[in-house]
Order: sequence, then C-alpha cells, then structure tokens
Amino acid sequence: MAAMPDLIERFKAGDPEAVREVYREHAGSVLTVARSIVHDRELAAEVVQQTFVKAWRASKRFEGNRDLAPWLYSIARHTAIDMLRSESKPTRGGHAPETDVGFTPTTFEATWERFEVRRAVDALPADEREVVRRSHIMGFTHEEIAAQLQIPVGTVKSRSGRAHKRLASALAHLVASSPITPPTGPPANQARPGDVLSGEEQS
Amino acid sequence: MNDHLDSVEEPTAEELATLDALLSRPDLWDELPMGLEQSIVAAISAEAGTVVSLADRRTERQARRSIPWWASAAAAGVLIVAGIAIAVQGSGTPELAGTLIELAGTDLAPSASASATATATPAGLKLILDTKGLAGAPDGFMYEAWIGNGTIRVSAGTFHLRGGDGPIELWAGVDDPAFTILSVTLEPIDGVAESSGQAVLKGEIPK
Repeated sequence: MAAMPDLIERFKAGDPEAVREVYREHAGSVLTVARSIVHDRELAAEVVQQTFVKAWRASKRFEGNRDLAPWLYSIARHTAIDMLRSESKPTRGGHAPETDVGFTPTTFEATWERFEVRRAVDALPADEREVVRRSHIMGFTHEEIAAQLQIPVGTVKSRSGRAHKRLASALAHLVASSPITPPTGPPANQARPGDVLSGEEQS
Repeated sequence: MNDHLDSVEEPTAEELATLDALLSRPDLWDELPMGLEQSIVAAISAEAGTVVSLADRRTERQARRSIPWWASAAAAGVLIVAGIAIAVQGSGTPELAGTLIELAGTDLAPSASASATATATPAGLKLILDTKGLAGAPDGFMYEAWIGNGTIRVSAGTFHLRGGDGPIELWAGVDDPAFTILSVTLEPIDGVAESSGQAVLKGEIPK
C-alpha cells in the first residue's frame, strides 16, 4: 500500500493538496495511536498536529516507493510518548525536571495493531463504516440501526456483512488466530516503524 | 468496490469474535477535531512557502458545520463547567505582583512567543498576555487561552489579534494551583466550546 511517488514528492514540496491527501488517509490512524498513549483527547490532537508537521520536515529523507503508514506511525508514537513525558513532569512539586514521573506507554506492538485496525476501518465505504460504528461502539442492534438510518434491516445486515468481510480480509494477520496475537509489524518490503527516524525528528 | 469481495471467504465465527474484540476499543472511533486539517495544511504551507486558497478554507469550514450530536453535547457540558472568561484588547496592570509565565510557539507557530502575568484575585485568575510574532487569527477563526492540568482545561477567554500585538487581559474562573499549563489554541468560530487542540503557544505556570 505504498503511496504514489508523485504524492510523496508533492507532500515533500508542501503542496497543500498533497498534505490534505496524506492527512485524510492517515490522520485517523495517527489519532488512534496518540489517544492510546496520551489518553487525553486534546493532547492527542496536539500529537496529530505535531506528527504531520514533523513528518513534512523530515520528508526529504523519505523514499517515495515506501509506504507512508509505518513512517507516520513511528513519528506519532514517539511524539505521543514525548508529549506524555512532558505533561507528566512534576514541576509543581519542587522536583527537578529530569526526575520525570515514570510511566509505561502502551507497547509498540499494541499501538501498531490499533493503527492498522483504524486504517482498515477508515478504508471502509462510509455507509458500511457507519453500520459497524453504531453496532460496535454504540451497541445498537441491526433493527435499531435500520430504524435510525431509515433503511431496511436487510440493507443493514448486508452492509455489516460486507464490512466484516473487508475487515477480516484486511486484518487477516490479526484475526486468523484467536485469541488476539500481537502483529509482527509491516512486511519486509515496507518501511519498518522503528527504523525510519533519527533522533532529530523524534524530539 | 464489491467485486473483489465475491472471492473473499466469509469470516469464521472465531475470526468474527476476534474482529469484534478489535473493533470494540473506544479510541478506534475517535473523530478528528474540526479545523485540525486546515491548521496543519496552513502550518506546512506557510513554512514551505506554498499557498492555501481561501476556497479551501471555506470548504472545510462548511464541512465542519455538520457536527455530530455527541460533540454538541460535549460542548454544552464544557460550557457549563468552564469559568466565565472575558478578553479585552487593551492594557492593564495586575493589582498584585503576579507569576510570570513564558510561552513558546508550537509547530503551528514556531516564530511566536509570549509572556503572561498571572495574578490570583478575589474574582478569579487574572492573566495579562503579551504575544510576539503571532499573526492575527484568519477570518472565521479566533485564539483562545486555556489553563489546564494535563487532563482538564478551562477557557480563559478569546481574542483575534487582527489589530496587532499588544497586552491582552484574560480571566479564568479558577485559581487551583493544580493548573500548571497555559496554552493558546486556534479555534474555528463555530459555536463549539471544546478546544480544537490546535495549540499555537504553550507554557508551564511556575509554582
């Protein structure tokens, strides 16, 4: 799922349409990673903001034939952890800043898994995504969703069925075994989340 | 988009159960804050020297008008608990010697900075904010000051700076020493009281 080289080049140049395109494809996944680490909704928004600006600043070193997702994931995770550390400084308690409060961030594998799941969800057609959202996060039955959306129950069921088929296919490496097992990261021909950043853009 | 699905096997019950567990995490369904896309595009465009058209801004603003019901409910909740805040452009001197707060520009406004004097008064926390290098808010946007503790944020008032830099008097209806962060965000003028999360200035309130 590598981005088109042309898009990468335009993104590097700061073309607003390219930035918009990259944001629309990946911002949801970046937000999910940020939220899973910093928990606070507003801090998570700051992480998303910083992630895309840092990604653009570091994009000169990005190779156009690689997948943007693992690279953005890596920046997002580092940014969120930095943000959490910064917010956890006990500056009100008279401690020196270097005696940061300890914390245990969500594991690399767990946040990568969430990134991938969000990416698959965001790739669903809007009508299917809405049925899945109402079902999973709001707990509505197919009949209730049909009434809310004013469509036949059969349509809700078919949208749900298609959505689950797409998700099971996109996330086969996660759903093929039960219980949930940690993913091993992206395929070898993609940028690995852990190897794309030097210290400069992680700060 | 359905063609390839015909060749995909139906998920097994076990796979569906695993999928259910994956999809039930609340952070998976968070909506992106309104206006965040525009802020990021504007920040990168400004640094890269490219241009964002007004039409782009209008389009996004129109898209933002379809606010989900839960966002409106959350915003109403924030309105109830937030302190009453006033932003008055003009000069002012704290009645008592105050705490000096230094604010640095974020990635959205790297060349901006500010200092603020915070003074606890019987009416609440009075802040005199002095910004440097922060451009006036674009049409349809405003700045909003917040004091927070990493979890809760309380508005300290709004301003636009379109008349240039200068001292701004802000008030927050709290004086709890647990509030340790002063920030300024760029906010769309859309009636939503919740912070956009697009911080342009940020600083710690020293004890």
